Amino acid sequence: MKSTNYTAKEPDVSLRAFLPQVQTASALGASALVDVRSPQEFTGEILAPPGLPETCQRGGHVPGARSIPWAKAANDDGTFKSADELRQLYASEGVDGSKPVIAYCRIGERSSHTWFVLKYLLGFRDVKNYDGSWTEWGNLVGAGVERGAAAKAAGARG
Amino acid sequence: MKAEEYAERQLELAGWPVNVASYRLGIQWHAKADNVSPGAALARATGTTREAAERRVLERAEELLGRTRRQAV
Repeated sequence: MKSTNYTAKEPDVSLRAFLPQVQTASALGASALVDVRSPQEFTGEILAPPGLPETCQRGGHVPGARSIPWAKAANDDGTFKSADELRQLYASEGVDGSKPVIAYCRIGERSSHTWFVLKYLLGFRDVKNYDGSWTEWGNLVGAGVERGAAAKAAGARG
Repeated sequence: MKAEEYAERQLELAGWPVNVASYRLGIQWHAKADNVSPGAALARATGTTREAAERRVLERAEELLGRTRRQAV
């Protein structure tokens, strides 16, 4: 085997949402926040997926976020749903690409799946993955936290 | 070497759904348990029989799932 050198490109941070952007999105609703965790994590009933380490102090979701679990984008056989079905899935929660979208979960892994769906399968122009996710927000002193189910999408921020 | 006699089933452990998969690689049996949603692997184990590998993996998975606390909402 022959050794070689590889120079990585600079990271593209435009794909990521950072805390100040999420705080602004939550406060002003200029970006849609999509929480892709399970409904039980969204409501605050559990702090992490069953059996995994709890990486936050509090349960709930970022105020204004919509609950659209990541796996809803997939069929039972693991393939992606059709573009029409995906469009309807997100639009039913007020996420239609008309404004920037920020997806998050617990550590940014599940939300990267949703990021791909929104960015490349639906072609939304401005989609970011908040990889700080609930592990950051759920530990943040002074951060607003909503618990329980979200308000209906119609007329709700997000 | 390739996996043979692959089998997968879903059951409930400590009140949570769990997928258990097991298969044989040569003379050794391997088992894996995941938490169904999001499908994260909770434990892996090996044994000389399918039953032994699954027993170990289920013990470990149950221990981890038993730590999941439900909060009042």
